[in-house]
Amino acid sequence: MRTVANPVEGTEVRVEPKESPGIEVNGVPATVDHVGKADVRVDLVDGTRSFVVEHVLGPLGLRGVTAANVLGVREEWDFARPEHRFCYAAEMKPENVVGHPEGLPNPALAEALDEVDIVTADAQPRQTVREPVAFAANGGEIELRPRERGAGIRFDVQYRDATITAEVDPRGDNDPELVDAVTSSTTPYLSPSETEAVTHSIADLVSDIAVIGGFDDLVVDAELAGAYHALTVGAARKAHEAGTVKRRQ
Amino acid sequence: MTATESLDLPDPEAVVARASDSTPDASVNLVVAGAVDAERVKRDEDGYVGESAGVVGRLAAALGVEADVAVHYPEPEFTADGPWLVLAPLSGFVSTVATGVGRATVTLERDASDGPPLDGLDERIAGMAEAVRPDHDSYPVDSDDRGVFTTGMTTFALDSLSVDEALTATFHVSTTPGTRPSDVKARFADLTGVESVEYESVVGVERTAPSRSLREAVEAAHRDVRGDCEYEWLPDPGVFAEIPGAEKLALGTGAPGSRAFSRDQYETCVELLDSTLSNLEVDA
Repeated sequence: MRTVANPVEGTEVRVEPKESPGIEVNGVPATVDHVGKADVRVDLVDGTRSFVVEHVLGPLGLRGVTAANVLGVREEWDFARPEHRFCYAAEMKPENVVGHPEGLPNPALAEALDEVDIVTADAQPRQTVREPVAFAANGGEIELRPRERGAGIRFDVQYRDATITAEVDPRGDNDPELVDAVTSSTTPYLSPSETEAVTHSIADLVSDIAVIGGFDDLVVDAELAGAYHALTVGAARKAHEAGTVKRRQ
Repeated sequence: MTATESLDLPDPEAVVARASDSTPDASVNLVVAGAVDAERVKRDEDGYVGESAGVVGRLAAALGVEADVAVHYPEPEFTADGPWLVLAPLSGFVSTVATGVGRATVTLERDASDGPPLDGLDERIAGMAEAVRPDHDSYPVDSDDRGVFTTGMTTFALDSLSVDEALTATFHVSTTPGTRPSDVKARFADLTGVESVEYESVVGVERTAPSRSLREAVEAAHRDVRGDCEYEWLPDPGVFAEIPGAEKLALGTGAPGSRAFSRDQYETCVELLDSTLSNLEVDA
């Protein structure tokens, strides 16, 4: 497992070291079992609720962090954000919203993670699928295919007329230019172009497939549309529920 | 049986008649936000259509529940005992917060060279419209027809305009907990010839804190029926703000401003109410 040697801060969040595998956001494990909402955004729910977690889990996955405690640190309300209105109405606090206010996959966090030492402990098994897993939701389609151990995840993604191919190792070094491009691209709802939207989607896919789904080695073919977290989290959930997850030492 | 009859949706006039005859005496109170005009609603194969289709549809849903509840229509009896459920166009969300209302009065001097009273008026009005246009650094608030962002922002709508010695405009202001009178006044500060800007709060933001049992009953119902319980604010205070006390929650299907209320929305609304009332252990 890989965790930060010291706490780091990004926009809206603080990331602290963790001694056991897995990432928790405000105390809730980032796993498919704890996803309470996955459509236009991803929320983790278990007693407390953390909103827009993909904007934190994406950069963590791109930087190869597999163990961390993420804490929301926002103190002021921004009622233009629907998630802040939700929290105000449900007697939660601004810190429950860990997503970036401008719809970015937290470039400040990605930069901080690049500068902090990463501590590597016990080697964990890497996960892939035994056989292809196809899933469709909200007008999109996705397929997860097996890949050899240590190869990482190759994402072949289409969003409207834009496409991108990205090689990501959720546990290793990734192309700095890719990380910079992805974390500085706004979410499709706010993107000025389809190219920027599809670039942003790599952070969402890393969050949903690699971090929440727990996969390390895959080929992912995705045609994204609309509220696509239903598709990406749905595919990861289907793989787990179907018993197709393959663990390899 | 015709397609319309197979819907099990009551006729709009019958909905109003039955609501008017209801006795508001039970352990839980139901009231529908918004004005009902049954004459402007038609029933077709898909549900209700017309200006107050949603209000009629939600009133029909209130009357369609199995449990014994007090449906308040046309005027709520605010002295009634028990918790209140307000049916509103919340698209299946829940609410404990309603935005507030304020009034801004802006007076612009008329330049002596303006000539006849209406000369230069278009320019002045355009200047005010620009001053109150929603603006945000990151969000597309100009095209935010569904209120995704603007529901939580201080927004303005022109209410009246008069021209005599001066040009005076009044604005309806939708307010949030973050609205400050000084910020409202500052919106108009750069206009040419501003003589005065007055702001008054008409109805404050309503944020209620219902009991844990009421909140959990409503939340559990939404998780059961819709798979999740999400919160949004009511875009105007209405009857929700008028109900005294904290033991109240708003819920309901249908979108704000929509001229259609489908059979699915009716059925989901009934399911949400039935489940909530069951959780509250209200007898049928």
